[in-house]
Amino acid sequence: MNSRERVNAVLNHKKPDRAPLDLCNSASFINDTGYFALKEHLKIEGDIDPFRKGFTATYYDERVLEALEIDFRHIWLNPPEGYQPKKFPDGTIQDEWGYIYKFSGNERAIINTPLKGFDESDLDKYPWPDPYAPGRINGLTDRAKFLFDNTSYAVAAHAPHSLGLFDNGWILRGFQDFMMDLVFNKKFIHKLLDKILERIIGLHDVYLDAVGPYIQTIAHCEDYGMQNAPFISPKMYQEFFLPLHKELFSFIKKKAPHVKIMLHSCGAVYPLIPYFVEAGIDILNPIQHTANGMDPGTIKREFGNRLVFHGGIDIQRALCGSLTDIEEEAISRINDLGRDGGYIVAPANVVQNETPPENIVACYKTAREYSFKCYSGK
Amino acid sequence: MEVLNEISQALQNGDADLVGEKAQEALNLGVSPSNILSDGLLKGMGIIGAKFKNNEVFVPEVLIAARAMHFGLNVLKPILANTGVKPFAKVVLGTVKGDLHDIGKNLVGMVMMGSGLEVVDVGIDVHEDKFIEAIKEHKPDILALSSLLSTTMVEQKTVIDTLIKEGLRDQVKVMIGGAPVTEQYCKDIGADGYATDAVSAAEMARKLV
Repeated sequence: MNSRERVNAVLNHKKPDRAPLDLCNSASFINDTGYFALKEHLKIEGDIDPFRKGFTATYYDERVLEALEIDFRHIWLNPPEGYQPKKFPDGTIQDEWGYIYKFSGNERAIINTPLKGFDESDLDKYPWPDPYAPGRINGLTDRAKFLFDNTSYAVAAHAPHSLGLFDNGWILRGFQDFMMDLVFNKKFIHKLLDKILERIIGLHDVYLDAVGPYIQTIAHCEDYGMQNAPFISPKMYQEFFLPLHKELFSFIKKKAPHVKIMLHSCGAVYPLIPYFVEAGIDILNPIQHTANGMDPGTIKREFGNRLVFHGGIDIQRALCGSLTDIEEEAISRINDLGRDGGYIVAPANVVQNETPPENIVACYKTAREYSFKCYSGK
Repeated sequence: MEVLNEISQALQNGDADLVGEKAQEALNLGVSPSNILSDGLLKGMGIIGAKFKNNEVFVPEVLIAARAMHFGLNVLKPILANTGVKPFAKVVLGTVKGDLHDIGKNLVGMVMMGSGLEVVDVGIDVHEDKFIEAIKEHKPDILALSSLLSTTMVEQKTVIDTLIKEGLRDQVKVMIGGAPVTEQYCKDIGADGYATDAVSAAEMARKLV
């Protein structure tokens, strides 16, 4: 099997020759310092430019993907032509959606929430980003078509926007206000989420027109889970978010019926998984199994016939632990999430800077070899 | 007493105005403020806390309850002060150096305030020297240190070591929290308490003082 056949087998719930491997999709990037260490470890010479700004993991290096035998290559939407995030003298930065953040070392913090104090009517006056602003798809069709026609990799589309309804909502509004609005100010929340959805659908419209025929998966990212529980109840998800997710995912399916939708949500989201399925997702990422209730075996048993799993490799402990830790981690995930296929190996979130490069290499090597052994019965 | 049940119930529903009204009503009926606090407000908060730990209620419900608690406390505070009841314990709270995560810390702060504790939030990416300054300035009973990352949790130890060096360790209880933190880690670095979630953190803070 080549990479694309392998991925397609998994996406269609058929057993592949081995588990497909992914990196640099959704949150599974490598923080910059960690990337440089890995690059050196792999003896890759020559620097490349960062592929994005405003993040802590900014490199997309196909030489690294090749060295690790990653089965995917990825495409992403550009910012509009001539767009530059606004930089202020105090070092803070304003993004296209209007919130202001700052960097400290390798971390990014939101420090201003522009919709604080707004009421419903203010939402009409807010300078929302224009999904149809020119430049977002410059060069995109060529790259996607090239990957599709001239390589055997699976082609994965990054989410057109790095945030979703829930997290974009609270980042704009402020966390505590947003949470309390869900109870006391429902009309505001509904209108806010509609505004965000409209932009996200617009971005998908532009994006899928450009790359739809060439991609196998597309990601949608938002975080509903904390370490112990979801932020909100399943009932609240059903009330506010499920109908909008249905709208978004059916829009994608209508435009590109062959494309599988991957939802990324960190944390303890077990109680929400049935509703994610109902919303129309095909792939769930990242199965953060160190979070409460996220037992991979249970999730595989209950949802494995409807969902493919992506991620699963713990970055909080195993990946930055000993070589034995990470080898055991990879084997465990093939045994549970990857039993008889249905699983794409990737770090569950951004690989931390201090992660030993040899652990990253060992993770993929172990997953590759062990899954081959399991699936082929050898 | 019926009015105390009504306070507890209104608090669980996050009905801040009703909590304030009922607290006033209870005072007018001659119920002591400490009684209103323990058998009305804190009782309600305790029920919400138990439900939160049990995944029966979630962050929005806890936040609106904490807000309602605050409304009730505002009614009681002036009277509690006059009756010589010991003031609520004071907590200095922050996310350690190198770590900018604040959702967990803010939740802990909100629920602590909702449990009647006085909270001084010193923010994110806080250097150990800034914690020392805050302790000297605010003289808290508790120092609460948050860290989301396995790479920054070592800073919790740095802060404790600095407290020892400065001769301040005996003056303050230290609580730690955050995703990578464990009970064992808490013992290893000589902290006084560790909690897994905001509600447990508030309960622990009340227990420590």
